[in-house]
Formats: sequence, C-alpha cells, structure tokens
Amino acid sequence: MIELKTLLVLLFFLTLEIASLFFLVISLVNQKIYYYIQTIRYHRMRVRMTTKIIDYLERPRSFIPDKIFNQPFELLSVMETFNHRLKGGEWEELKKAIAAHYLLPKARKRAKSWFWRKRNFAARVFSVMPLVQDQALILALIRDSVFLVRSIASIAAVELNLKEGVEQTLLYMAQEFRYARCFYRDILLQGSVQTFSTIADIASKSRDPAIHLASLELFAGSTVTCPLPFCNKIWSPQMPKFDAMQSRR
Amino acid sequence: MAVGTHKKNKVILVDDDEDLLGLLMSAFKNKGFEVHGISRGQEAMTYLMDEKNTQSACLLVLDRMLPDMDGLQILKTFQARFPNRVPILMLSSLSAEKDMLAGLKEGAVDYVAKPFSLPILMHKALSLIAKEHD
Repeated sequence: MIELKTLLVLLFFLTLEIASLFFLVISLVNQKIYYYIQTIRYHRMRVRMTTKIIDYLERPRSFIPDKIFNQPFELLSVMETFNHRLKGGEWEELKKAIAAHYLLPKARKRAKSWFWRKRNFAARVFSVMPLVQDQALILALIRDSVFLVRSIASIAAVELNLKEGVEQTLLYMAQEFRYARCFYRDILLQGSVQTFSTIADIASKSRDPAIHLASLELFAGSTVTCPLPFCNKIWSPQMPKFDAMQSRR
Repeated sequence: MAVGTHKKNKVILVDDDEDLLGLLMSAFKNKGFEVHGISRGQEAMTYLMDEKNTQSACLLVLDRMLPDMDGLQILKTFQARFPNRVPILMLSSLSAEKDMLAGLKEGAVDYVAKPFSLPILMHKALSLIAKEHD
C-alpha cells in the first residue's frame, strides 16, 4: 500500500516536471517566433522609411507627414544611418522637417525621464538634430550618470560648440581610459575650428595636467593651426619656446 | 551638360551601402549618364579588369571600406592595369589625412569623406567628367 502511494507521488512529480518542461519549451518557441516576427517587421519598417527618404532626396519637395514615420525608435535608427552617409543639401532640410515633426517633441519629453533608455533616445535625437533651443537639455544630458547617455549628448554639445559642453567633454576625455577616452577624443576631433579655440582657451586656463595632456592629444590629432600661446604656457621653462623652435626651422 | 553627345558616358559606382548606391545611381541617371553600380569588392575587381567595361567609362566612384576588400586595393590594381584611363573619385568614411593621402597617392583625383553633401559630390563629379571630355 505504501509502495503504491510512493509510486503515485513519484508519478505526480514526474507529470509535473514534464508539464513544466513542456510549458518552458512552448514559451521558448513562442519567444523565438515573436522575435523573428518583430525582426521582420522592424526590417520592413526600416525599408519603407528608407525608401521614402530616398524618394524625397531624389525628387526634392516639401515634406508631408506620413504615418510610416510614426515609429520613433525605428525612425531614429534610419535617420542616424542617413546622417552617417549624407550632410548638407536636401538631406539637411528633410532631416530638420522629419525631426521637428516626429522626434524632437518626444526627445524633449524623454530627456528628463527616470529611465536611461529614454534619456539615451533623447540624446540620440539631439545628436542627429542639435538645436540651440535645446541646449539646456543637452547640457543636462551631458552630466548624466549613464555613459550611453552622456557620451552621445557630447556629440550634440560639440556640434553646437557649447562652451560648457566642450569643457565637460574635454574633462571626460581627461578622466576616462581606453575606449571611453577614444570615444570623447573622436567627438572633439570632429569639432569645428571654433571648438578647437574653445579647447585651447579651456586648457590655457586650467592647471590640471590631465586636461593639458588631453588637449595636446587633440591638437596633435588634427590639422588645425596649433594654438601657440597655450603650447608656450605649458612648455617646460628649460626648453626653447615653441614659436622660437618653429622660426628656427 | 550635353552628355549624350559624348562617347564616354558611363559612370561606375562601387559602394557596399546599397541604399546610398541606389541614391547615387539615381542622381547620375537623372543627369543623363549610363550607370553601373557594384556593391562587392571582388565583383568590382572582375568588372573593372575587363577592358570592354571601362572603355566607355567617364568616372569611377569608389568606396574604400568594402566588406570583402579595401577599395584602395581595387584602385591600385586598376591603375596598374589601365593607368589614368578613368578619373577616380574615392568615397569613404575614413577621413583622416593619411587615409586621404593614401587614396590620392594611388591615383584618385579626389577624395570625398562621408558624410558628404550630395550636391557637392555631384558638382565635383560633373567637373571631373567635363575635364575628361575636354
């Protein structure tokens, strides 16, 4: 009798285990199918948006809002791709129109969100379409605790040549190591001549050797005119002046 | 530009970014050129090594970072086989001074860094074609 009872209990647990495994497999398959469908949907959406943008670029005309652009994450990704390919001309006009209609209002709302992914979205939008009117939000995002937010906000700040933003980016570059340092370095190297004069100004006022080192690394990496007053200031007193060395050559 | 009156009327475009390739092809077609677009390095190499394909070409727009080959390698091989036959315009996201110099040293007549302005690229391309026709 006891053996039969034990057997029944074992059988019950075995059935329970099989049922759990079955549900686990079913949910895994469901998840795979869901992600597969999502990937196809996402790809189709991207293709439709890309085709529409190319059509606007091929036959320039004023932008008419279209419901296919009503997916902010996918649209932002498409816009970033185009922004890596093109600049100026019709693209700039089209980018401005699309961003103003679909992305900037959402970015302004999400810039103050508690969730870093939403703040990351806002930073990405501002890096694609930086506007002076959004500088307060950009400067707030540049001080974010999450690297994926502050680093992307730096792109917008450098593009707008915001002195505070350039200063913060230079500070991050001086403080960071390895990849993160290179990330900020590349952002600053893409800056305009004005950005470089801002860097020279910040570096000549700073007493931090890390800032001096980061600034010199930037000046060495670009073909902008070397800011001699700054170089002479940090040049060792035992060594000849930088401009004197240049005139000797 | 009265393109149709000239014998050389083909523009060869090599870029792995198919959307950008489509956009460039359409821009050149709109100007009245015959356009051939290629998205793979090996395919480009095979196409360009055939004399028949390049006889009527007036411009080659070559991307550097192709998935299977460096565009610079295609440029070197093409220039070695057909020196200065077609003006070559390099197009790349590698915009450092040394990368640009590498392209120009190998015989490219101009180097356009990505992201680029389409109207400026077209202007440069049309000037090069006009010089080639002269």
